[in-house]
Amino acid sequence: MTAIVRTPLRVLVAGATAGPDDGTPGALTDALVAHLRRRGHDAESIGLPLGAGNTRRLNDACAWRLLNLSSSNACRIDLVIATGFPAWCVRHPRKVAWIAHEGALAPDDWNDGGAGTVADAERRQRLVQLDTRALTECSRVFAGGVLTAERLRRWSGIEASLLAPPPHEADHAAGGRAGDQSRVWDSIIEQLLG
Amino acid sequence: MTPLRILILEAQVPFVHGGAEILVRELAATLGAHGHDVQIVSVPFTDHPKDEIFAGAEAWRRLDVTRVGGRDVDLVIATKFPTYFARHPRKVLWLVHQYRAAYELCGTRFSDFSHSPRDVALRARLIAADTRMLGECIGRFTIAQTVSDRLAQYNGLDSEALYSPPKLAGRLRAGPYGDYVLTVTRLEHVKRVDLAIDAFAGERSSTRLVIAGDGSARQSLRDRIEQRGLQDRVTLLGRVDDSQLVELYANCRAVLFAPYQEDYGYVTLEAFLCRKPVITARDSGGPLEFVRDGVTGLICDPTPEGLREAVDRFGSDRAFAEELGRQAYDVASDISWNRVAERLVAASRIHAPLGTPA
Repeated sequence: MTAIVRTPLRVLVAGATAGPDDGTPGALTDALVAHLRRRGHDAESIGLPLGAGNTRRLNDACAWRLLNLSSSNACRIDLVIATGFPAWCVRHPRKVAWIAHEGALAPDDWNDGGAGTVADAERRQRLVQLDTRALTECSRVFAGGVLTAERLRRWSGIEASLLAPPPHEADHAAGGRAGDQSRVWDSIIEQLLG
Repeated sequence: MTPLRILILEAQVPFVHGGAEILVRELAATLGAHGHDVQIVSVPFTDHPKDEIFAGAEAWRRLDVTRVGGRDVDLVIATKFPTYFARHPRKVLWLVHQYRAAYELCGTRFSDFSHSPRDVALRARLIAADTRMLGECIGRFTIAQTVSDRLAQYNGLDSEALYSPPKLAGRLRAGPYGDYVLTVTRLEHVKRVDLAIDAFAGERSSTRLVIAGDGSARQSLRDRIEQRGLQDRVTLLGRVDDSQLVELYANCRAVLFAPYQEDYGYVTLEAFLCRKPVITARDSGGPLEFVRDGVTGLICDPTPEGLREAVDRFGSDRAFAEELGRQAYDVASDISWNRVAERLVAASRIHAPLGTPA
């Protein structure tokens, strides 16, 4: 594959964090940032805690929506890559969503406290609308697998392109075949940057 | 002592790295070492256009920080604007700063707040909202007396200043008093590195200026050095790693740190821990809490001429720099993280634990 020579971009990788005791969902995000940097881009990650419960999920999505990440400290941010719900709700003129696995989609388990009430149905409806609108704003939406793409289609009617994460990312972190991993990441980054 | 589940609230400015970020991580490490379960919650903050300031504050208000990862949070520690907009029954403040452009920087060249009715109204709304949110805190501390003074002046709220040591405290050491004056700072206009550069334009001795750090003013400062023909006198190193920084401190003659109304400034303490005197200005804020004129450094007018005179003084008299540096060390050596952590936690314990009768 011929490498595309690019102007270095300033890229924010955005994903929700649930807290260290729930496992660290940031491994893929961290790897993406590391490989963007390896290719000469100025990359950083951001994350907000993601809570459980319908009211809280809606509030979390709204909190992301309030953030305008077009620039930082008077310098333009060129691209936001959102890796999980509800990070794609941020406001930015150029967003890409990469939903590597189903768990990164908006949860559809609306059976906790308050389920069945009119208020809860309204919250769910508002969340679907906000989530769908935010994903529609993305210039490209990628799903890590067929199941994730199907669930996304059912939830919001959005068609995603398939873009699988590198296998055995954890093995790589432990000192696996770095050269192979780099080539896979190069390909992923080319597609994410479009 | 019962371990607490603590969240430290941080406003993250993407692609900007400075003292506040270090401070939050050092606090987390100390609280962790005291047996608490600590997590940092960072929410990106951007302020362009100005109306976005309130959006960032609203985001903090919406986030639920009472439960994270399925567990109750016992204490949240708010740091700088707008983290103190978060809602929690046990919110303790360790204030780094409010939104400075609307506070003490307003009316200076470092603020984009004008006297337009829109900006005046925005500023008034912001300070009023701040006062309400800061008033919710069950304990109020700041990182320096300069910040406490602002909190009293603009928000009418009292607080206690808690000093913390710099991250490099354990690694810094004294070395030879070399032929350069060192400036360590983010390259932002409010840090007034332009003033430091101009001080060398007409400086008489052979002392050089070495500047470590990076930021949005990098190119304009590089241009300034070239325009004044100072390439052989002033070196802009960019960002350096910790090991390089330790060496730079150890080998400098003195440290020049003359920002406008700095909140605190780890640089002053880092210099002192290396037994180096500090050149600062009368309006530099935090550094003035530590620098005593003619004892631990020199305090001068915030002009190139004022700084030049101080640089000349140290440049031409190595023994003077050594003497003041020795005296400076004692000022910084007593500051510890343990006291900061203990005071913040103690403030939260005044109230009954969550879920138990008061």
